[in-house]
Amino acid sequence: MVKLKEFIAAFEATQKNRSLNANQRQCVETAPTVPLMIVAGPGCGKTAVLVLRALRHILVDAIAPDEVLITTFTKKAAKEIRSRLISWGLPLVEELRRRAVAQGDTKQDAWLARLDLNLCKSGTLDSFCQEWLGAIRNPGEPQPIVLEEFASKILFARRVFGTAYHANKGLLDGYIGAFSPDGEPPHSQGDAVDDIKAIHDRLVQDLVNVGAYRKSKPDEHAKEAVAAHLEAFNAYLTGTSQFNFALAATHCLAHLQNGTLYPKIDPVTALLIDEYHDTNPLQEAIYFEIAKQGKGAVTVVADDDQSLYRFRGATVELFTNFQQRFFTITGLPKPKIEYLFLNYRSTPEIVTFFNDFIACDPAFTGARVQPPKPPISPNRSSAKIPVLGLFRDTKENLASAIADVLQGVFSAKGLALPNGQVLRGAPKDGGYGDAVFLAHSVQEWKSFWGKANPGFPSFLRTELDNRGIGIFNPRGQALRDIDAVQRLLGLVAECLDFTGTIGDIAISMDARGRIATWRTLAQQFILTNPPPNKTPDGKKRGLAEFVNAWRAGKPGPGFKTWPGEWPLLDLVYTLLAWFPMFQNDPEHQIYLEAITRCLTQAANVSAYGMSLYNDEPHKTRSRQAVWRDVLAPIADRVIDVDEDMLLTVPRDRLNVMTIHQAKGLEFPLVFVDVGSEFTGNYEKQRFKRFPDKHSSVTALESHLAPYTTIGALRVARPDLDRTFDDLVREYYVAYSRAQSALVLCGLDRLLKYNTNIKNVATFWRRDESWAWRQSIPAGVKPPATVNAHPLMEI
Amino acid sequence: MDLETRSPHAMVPAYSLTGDLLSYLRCNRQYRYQNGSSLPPARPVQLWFGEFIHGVMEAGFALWRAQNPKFPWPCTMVAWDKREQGMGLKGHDVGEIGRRVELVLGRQGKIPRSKFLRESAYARAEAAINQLGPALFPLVAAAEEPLSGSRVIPNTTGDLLRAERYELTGIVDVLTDVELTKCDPNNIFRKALESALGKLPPKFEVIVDYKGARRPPTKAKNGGPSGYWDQHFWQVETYGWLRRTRTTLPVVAGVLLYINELAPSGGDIAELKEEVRDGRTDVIPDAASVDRRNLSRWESGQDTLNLLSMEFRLRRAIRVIEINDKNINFALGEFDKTVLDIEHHIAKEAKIVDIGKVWLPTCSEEETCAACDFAPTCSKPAGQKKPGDPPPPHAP
Repeated sequence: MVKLKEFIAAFEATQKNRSLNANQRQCVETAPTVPLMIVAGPGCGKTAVLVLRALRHILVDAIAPDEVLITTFTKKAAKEIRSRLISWGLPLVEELRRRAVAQGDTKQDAWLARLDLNLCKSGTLDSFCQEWLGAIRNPGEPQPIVLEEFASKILFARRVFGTAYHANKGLLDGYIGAFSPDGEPPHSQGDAVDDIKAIHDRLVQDLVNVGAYRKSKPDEHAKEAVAAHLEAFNAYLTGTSQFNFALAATHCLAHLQNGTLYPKIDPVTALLIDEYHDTNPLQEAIYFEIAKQGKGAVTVVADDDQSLYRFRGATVELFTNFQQRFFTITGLPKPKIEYLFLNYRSTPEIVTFFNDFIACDPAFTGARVQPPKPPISPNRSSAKIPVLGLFRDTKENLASAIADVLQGVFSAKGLALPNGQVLRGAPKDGGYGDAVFLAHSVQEWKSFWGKANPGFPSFLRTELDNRGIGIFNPRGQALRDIDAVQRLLGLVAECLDFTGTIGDIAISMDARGRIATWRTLAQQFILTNPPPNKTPDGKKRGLAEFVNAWRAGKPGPGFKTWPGEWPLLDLVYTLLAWFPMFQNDPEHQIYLEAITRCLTQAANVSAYGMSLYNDEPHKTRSRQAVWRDVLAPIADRVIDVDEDMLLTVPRDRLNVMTIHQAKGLEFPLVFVDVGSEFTGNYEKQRFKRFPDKHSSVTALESHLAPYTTIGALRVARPDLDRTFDDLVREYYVAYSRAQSALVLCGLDRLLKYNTNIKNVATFWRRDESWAWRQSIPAGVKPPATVNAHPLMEI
Repeated sequence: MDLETRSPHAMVPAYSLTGDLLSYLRCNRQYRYQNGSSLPPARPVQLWFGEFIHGVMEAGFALWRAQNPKFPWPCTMVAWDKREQGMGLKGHDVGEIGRRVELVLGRQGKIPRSKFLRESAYARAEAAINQLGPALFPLVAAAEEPLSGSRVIPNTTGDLLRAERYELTGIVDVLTDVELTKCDPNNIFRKALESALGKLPPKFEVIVDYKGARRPPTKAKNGGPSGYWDQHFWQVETYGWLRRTRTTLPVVAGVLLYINELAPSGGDIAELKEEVRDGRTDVIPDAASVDRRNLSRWESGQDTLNLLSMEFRLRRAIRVIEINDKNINFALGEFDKTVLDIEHHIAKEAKIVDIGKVWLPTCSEEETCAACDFAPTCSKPAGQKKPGDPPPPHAP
């Protein structure tokens, strides 16, 4: 094994631009016998420290690489950790071998030569649960499959809920609607499925005592129905050897607790958990069991100020109380806390800004790890670019101003700022891809009273399109609203509806209306006679002929009669001939991938496996299955795009992302939308800027609190406070993404001295005081714009 | 102030030997769609069969090790519409093992698509279990062993790529000398290894991989190199390199098992006939043998299952490839070049943002193109001399 001092020296020798600061060194040097809790600010190198600690366990503590388990929250983060482990670890091992050879230590060299860092395990806890289920299967049983969320939802709706919902509708709607995003009873069966699944997830993730919950008053009948649906679904999944993520984790926990799992997997001698602030009670229980049974080194890394996923069950209190919980529940030594607060990402101006933001509201202090981490210190030097403010009177003007800034910055001259400084893109290889626009929502079109209204990203797209600047916003539109997707799916419907009545089945009214619109768009597209529309010998043959042949069942030259069975996917792929964008544009590839993913998942639960048959009654029924299991779910927005699918992010376009998507990322130039939509103090928008009531998620947390051990800890802060806390964390994450330039943008009325649009993002405190507004002496006319904001307006 | 360039996260992309590299070598464009974007095949016939065979063999081995049922195992194929509930068959019935594997594959959208394919898959699985199992299972020291290793991407021109290294992954079964020397000298694997390698070292390992395919020809129809034959060779050598990092024993050979050879289809026999005639395959029936006579007399539509002797079928099913430093270096060099090429394409796509201009069709096999989902939009399918706009597609 390698000496600790030598390990650090060799690491610093291989990473020429990186030396460990005192706190990072402390984290790496802490003995494996001491559980370690690292509280790390944004840009302070938490992933780096986690990876280094894993390498230390292998090289210094001589823990076998396959006994090192690193978990994180997303697949993307897991890939990043693995990449760093290998790209740092291999040169480090090479350097240590060089040193061993120089010292004549052949034994050490041979040991190092045999180390295989690829054996180190890194992934999401879900992925490990899936792997572990394989370890506890019986001989002869194949590797179990864990269903994607979409398939799980369809199965639940089809096998359990659909048949029982109408009988219990009156009972259920009021109860489950209270915890829906809008607090209203479900508008459709699809909404009801979403609402009840959200409650089910919580029952599982929070380790709720379902027996006590289902008997408790009031609403005991509704609760009984909710619990019975969960039981019935789990019984169905278990009976058919299927799992969803929640059931997989529940099974693993049960097997860990009864001692039947741990002996069958590789020992976990070092457990390292990233993003612990987004852990839920079920995951905590699994981690604690592994820690107890592995009796090895444990490290958790997190930033309580960046916990964003309460709506997915994340429970930040598990991190803020980690020391005590770990000690009490596992009986292992009490963890030591280390803080990382030296920021390598941002300029001092940006660091000061987000430090001020997180400390602005004293009421937030109680939500943080105690004592809170020290203010973040910048490691970079100042370039004299203050945080910028870009506020205009209308959305159009705001979009135009953002486009001006972008064009200015990425021009050869750069953008001259009021303080005489010039902000310019990187002279070599700089491009719009170095900038990002972050917002709470990046939807380009929003439905309001049944009408589609443009959201601010839509104004931005129009403005940038007019100037020839690309925009990359794969989440900007729901799959169902994307023009090419609508035409493609409309063509699928046109090809399959040979009677004109195929779609007359039980699907939601909304889906029915949308599919009809898609078909109209498809018919209009056919009339344009898009290329390819001629055969090589010059004869006219195009999309219209293709669609008509499908409807009439008239076979092409390859078949004498129409084939008895044909895959729907083949039809989709063939239609791409008339859609060059799906073939060539990476963003449209993501849409296509989402459609095909829906189709393959639907194939698992659909009676005809997404094959189209040609003999009745299967001909009609197999086509109806396409309506029910593909077209309607996309129309109902059950499935959407996932930007993780992207192979490359285009360098020539402005990135547009939700703040949640941007977590863990950094950009040289960051625009944060703090209020492009806030034209007045509208009640419906308050949850996005200054909530006047608790969120549905916190309401559900409190509702279940009496039946779960985490309940008391979680509701120690009132629901409304937790709702505010989430908003503070969201903008803290947004502001801390910027490396060199941070631009806050919105409508100018947000900065009016007398504005009534209260907004957490612009430093309003929940006691309704405003940090940017200094009072003025009585009798003095107030200024138009707020008088103590730190922004340099441009 | 000049902004910095947004640095992509240091990536170590993972490449699977069979899933990525061999697929890229088949066709750049198809690789981009199927591997880059994960667009699923419309008819995952090959995928289904390959995974079905792997699943049955893995489950069969686990059952054999746990319960050691006597060979031959029965094979009662469960009707398609009974596959959910089953027929209450014994656990080691190949029909029951297959049913369970099929259910899992079905939940991933992989289904056999035709009665014929399903029946032939069960016939092959039954032959694999009962013909290979008794000789193979006792030799297996580790089943479904995941392998991985990291390599530097040979970016000698210093181009801006997202990665400096890549991770190579694969899964194999491992045989060790201990098991091999304990077994009957007439064990087909022992004999095949001794015949291919001559004297074996005192201690060693052998890796095994199943192929849901027939034995590839050693040369292409035009007399040039045979893609699959060579690529399978690289694959074994690379697996050998990966396995060497996990064991102190010398890894001396790889055994590829071409399962289709055990129960060939009419198409397989027709191709074999042609290859024997043209001297493009390495395992041929002896000139005066019954197998030779049966093969030469066979005509399309006739029985194939009992056409050739099991001894001959097993010889064709088993391919032993010697693993040594020279071969390994050659194979790794080929894979490094392939990864570099893929990474160049990825970098180019990020720059010019047009998939069609970056990932060009490169397939030279007409059969592969005929089965390709993206053929209706392909500008240069195999056999077409110059690229051109594809004609409007027909309905089926």
